[in-house]
Amino acid sequence: MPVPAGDGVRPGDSRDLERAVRVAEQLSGLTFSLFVGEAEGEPRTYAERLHADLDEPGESVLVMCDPQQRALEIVTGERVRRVLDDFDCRLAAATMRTSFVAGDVVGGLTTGVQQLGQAARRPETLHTGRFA
Amino acid sequence: MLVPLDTQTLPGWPPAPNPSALHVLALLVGAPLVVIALIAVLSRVHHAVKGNAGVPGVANAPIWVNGRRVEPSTQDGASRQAIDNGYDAAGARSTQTEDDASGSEDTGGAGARW
Repeated sequence: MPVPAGDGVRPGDSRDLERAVRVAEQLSGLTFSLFVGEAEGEPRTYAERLHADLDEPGESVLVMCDPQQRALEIVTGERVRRVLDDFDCRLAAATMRTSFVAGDVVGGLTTGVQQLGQAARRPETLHTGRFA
Repeated sequence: MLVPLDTQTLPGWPPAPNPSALHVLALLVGAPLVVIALIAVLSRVHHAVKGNAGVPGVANAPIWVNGRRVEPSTQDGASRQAIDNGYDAAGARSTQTEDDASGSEDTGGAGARW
C-alpha cells in the first residue's frame, strides 16, 4: 500500500532528527547528513548523487529515506568506510527497517543514525586520544 | 406487594397514551440515528480542524539535515539533463582522481526496502 510522502514525518520531527545527527557526529567525528523525502528515480542512484553533492563526500555519511517508495539508502564516503564498513551499515539498515515496518519512520531514523555513529566510534588510545 | 403488570396502568394512575407506530419507530430508531450522526459530524469537524493544526503546506517537503537544499521536480527536462551530465562528469573526474591517488574503492553503505 503506497504511503504518502509526509506520512510519519512531520516538520516538527526534524528537531529529533537533527539531535540524532548531532549525537552521531559527536560519537564518530564523521559528518552525517540525513535526507527524508522523495527520491527522483532509482533511490540508490539518487542517494549517491546527493552524497556526491555534499561538501566533503569522502568523509560523510548520507542516510536517505523515501517513505513514499519505502526505500532506505545509506551511502558512505571512501574514507568513512575505514571506520564504518558495509556490514555496520547493513545492521543499522535492518534496525531502521524494523521501525519503518511498524510505521515509526522518525524513531527508526533516530535509532539508526545513532547506531551508525556508535559503530563508527573509534576507541581513544593513549597515543591518538585527546589525552595523549 | 407485587402487582402483575397488565397492559393497563396502575390503579389510580391516568390512562397511558397509546403511541402510534410512527412514534415508536422515531423513538427507537430515529433518536439513536440522530445521536450517531451528531457524533460523526463532530468527529469529522474535529479532525478537519485539528488535523491541519500546526502542519503547514510543507508536510511533503523533504527534510534535510546537514545537507544541501534540493529542488524536487522543478527543473525541466533540459536542465535535468544538464545536471545529470555535470554529475556524470564530476563522477568521472572523481573516479579518475581516486584511481590516480590510490586506485581504491567507491562509496559504500547499504540499502533496505520495507
